[in-house]
Amino acid sequence: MVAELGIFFLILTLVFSSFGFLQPILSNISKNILLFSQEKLSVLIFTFTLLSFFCLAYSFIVSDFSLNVVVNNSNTQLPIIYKITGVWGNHEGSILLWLLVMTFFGFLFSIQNIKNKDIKIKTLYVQNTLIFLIGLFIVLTSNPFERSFPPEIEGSDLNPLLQDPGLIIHPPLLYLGYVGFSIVYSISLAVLLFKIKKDDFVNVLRPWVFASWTFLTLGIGLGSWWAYYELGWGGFWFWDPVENASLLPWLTASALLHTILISSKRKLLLKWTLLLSIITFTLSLLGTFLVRSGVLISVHAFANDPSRGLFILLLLLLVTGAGLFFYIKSGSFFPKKNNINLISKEGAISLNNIFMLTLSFTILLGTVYPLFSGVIFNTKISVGAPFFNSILAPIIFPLVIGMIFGPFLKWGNDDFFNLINRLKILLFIFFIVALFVWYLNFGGPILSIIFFIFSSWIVTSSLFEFTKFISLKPKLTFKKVPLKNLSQLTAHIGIGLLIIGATGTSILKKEKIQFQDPNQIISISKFDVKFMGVNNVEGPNYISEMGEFKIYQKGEYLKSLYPERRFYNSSDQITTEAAIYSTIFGDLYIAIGDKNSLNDSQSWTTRIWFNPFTLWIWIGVFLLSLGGAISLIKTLRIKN
Amino acid sequence: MKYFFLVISLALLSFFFYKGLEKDPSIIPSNLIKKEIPDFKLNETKLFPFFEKSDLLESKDLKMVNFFASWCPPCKIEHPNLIKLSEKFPIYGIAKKDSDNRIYNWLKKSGNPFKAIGLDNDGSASINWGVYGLPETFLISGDGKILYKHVGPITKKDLSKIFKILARE
Repeated sequence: MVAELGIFFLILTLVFSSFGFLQPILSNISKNILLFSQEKLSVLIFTFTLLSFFCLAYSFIVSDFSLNVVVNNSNTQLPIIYKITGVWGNHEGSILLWLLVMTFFGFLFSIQNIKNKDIKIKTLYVQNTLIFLIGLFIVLTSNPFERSFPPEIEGSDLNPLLQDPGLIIHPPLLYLGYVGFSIVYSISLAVLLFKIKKDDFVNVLRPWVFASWTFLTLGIGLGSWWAYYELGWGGFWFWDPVENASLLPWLTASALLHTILISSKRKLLLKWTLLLSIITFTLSLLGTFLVRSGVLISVHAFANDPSRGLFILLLLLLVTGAGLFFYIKSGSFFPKKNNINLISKEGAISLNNIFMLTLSFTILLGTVYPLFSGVIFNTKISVGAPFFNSILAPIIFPLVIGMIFGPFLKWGNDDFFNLINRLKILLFIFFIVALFVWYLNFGGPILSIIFFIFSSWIVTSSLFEFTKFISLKPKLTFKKVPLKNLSQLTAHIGIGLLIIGATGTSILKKEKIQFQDPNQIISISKFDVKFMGVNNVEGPNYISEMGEFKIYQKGEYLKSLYPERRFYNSSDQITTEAAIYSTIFGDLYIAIGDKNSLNDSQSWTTRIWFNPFTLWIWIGVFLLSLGGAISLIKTLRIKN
Repeated sequence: MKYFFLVISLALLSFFFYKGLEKDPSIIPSNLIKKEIPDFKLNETKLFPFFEKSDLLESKDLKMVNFFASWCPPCKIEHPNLIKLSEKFPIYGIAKKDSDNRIYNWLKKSGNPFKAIGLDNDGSASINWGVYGLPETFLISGDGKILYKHVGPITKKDLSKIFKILARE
């Protein structure tokens, strides 16, 4: 019964969202046709989708095994929290979540106080049309309320890898990011499609760009954190197609949120802002296509169905085609006064854009290349981490240099020698910092030293800018610190820490894999790791082999770590739960493997890593999203 | 004219993605396909009949070589399907890093599809056959050539795929 209600609400969503495109068409035919206001429609659509989502959640909570998705992704033994997250731990439910977030953003936009009513209504035309298309996709190819007949007695369990606290909020956050860009796209397409002349669309766009970017950053960071401790591979980023798919819109969105500073302050690059908005949402959709259609291999195994792939492909084509078509069509609609000096704030941000986009399209190329080579040459190849790591360095260096000096440049026009003169002290500090970093890492890999120097420069320059700013206004209280400076400062320091963490974890990590006997001590970095043995422990729906390791430093006992291997009863799957001892200088990371089957020995395969500065990655990601959040608050404050 | 590039590039992209939809990226071709089975050396078990390369070459019928282990959960998933397949042709098992007793206990409980079993204790046979995970299965023709390699557990869906290959031969 609840399931029928769910599909009923879903169809109502479909019917009402169709007014997104019906209304402009109908009102063209006759002005007198009475129709809904788009704002009210958005509220209705959101309510119906929410109700439909609740119906699905209810079916999961009460373990209604007459539904296919519940049978395949839940189990009565499952703890209640994972029954709920099971709602989006599968294709159908997660697309419903996607729709929910999309209608939620439409709803928020419809209640937002926007002076230009024209932009508002026309944006909602586009947004509701997009909602209609996604709704159609769900009803036609991914109906979560499909019954299984005869009903099963027991479900086959949620994928054990997804039974994890990190996965509770990772997908919703990621979707808030991905789907948030649908509003950004809708605003941009509305401006292009209906030729809205006012250039205040930039201010309408701004809060949505910052909000979506912040959520996307958090979502990606959380996913990476999950992969780090759950997969037991000792790394935080694997250049998996699905990870890349989330990185692509993040990079173009980062370009967008810098560009929007120029377009709102100096009314330059307006068209470019629109194009970036379109590209960002297109890449979000492309990511969805790559992930959901199964055209590429990935650790994210989703159930695949070619008809779904085809539908998303058509959707992708429509969204990209419409966006780019009207972009080209708008031609000389916008003023072409893009005189930008290289040595100026605008110049630095333009360079940022060029490198961000280069990075993004290079990663895109690497991600889809296996597909192309499969189709053209009929050969199987895989593009892995070595490719991505080697293209990353040369693009990141200029990006970082721009990031260090860009904030000190003036708007409009600046002078190179003047800049050097202004930054005398900072350059001297840079020199000292570089020497210091070099001294600390003496003899280490040259690439890591360069990265460490650059990233510490980012941090120092941000702090330097801040102290200079404070010294100019001695009576400054904390409340009066302009949010613009604060957001840029936090985000840039975040990037600095992120690079330090990534460099440490990838280039400087130490790894030891061995058969370890009980009481045997393995030394890694400054730690001595003593293996105590393995016990069987029973969890709610799994049995675990739990290893015990005692960590010593200079003979002194620090802590015990308990890495696990869990055997899930109902799905016959094994997951690795790494145990991590985090310190500010690095993580001690232990995972256990199989028992040595030879000669009836008591030794186990143990994998021990020392990952320098991994903690800094998570701090960096947190600061980045904090920076985004501060920008959002600032934008909203200006509006009121 | 200005739409020309847009149309062309979108058309090309959709062509590639559409073509890509038809392909299954998880199928990784083996270099051994259509070649004679590689040399390999196994250890004998105490409880099961043993086999060597020459045994595989001697019989002129279709046969299967299955890499498995009693400690490997996906092997347990494919086990019922292996038993079904063993009614059609002989299956030779190569147990990787496993012990007599454990294999015996497992097969006694869930049935024995294998005509003969050899132990690959040092993993050298796995390397010779290009096996990188368990289970992996090879279909071998009467003249000792590898027809098909399957990576991962054989599911019901895969059974029909294998029967199709058999029908072709």
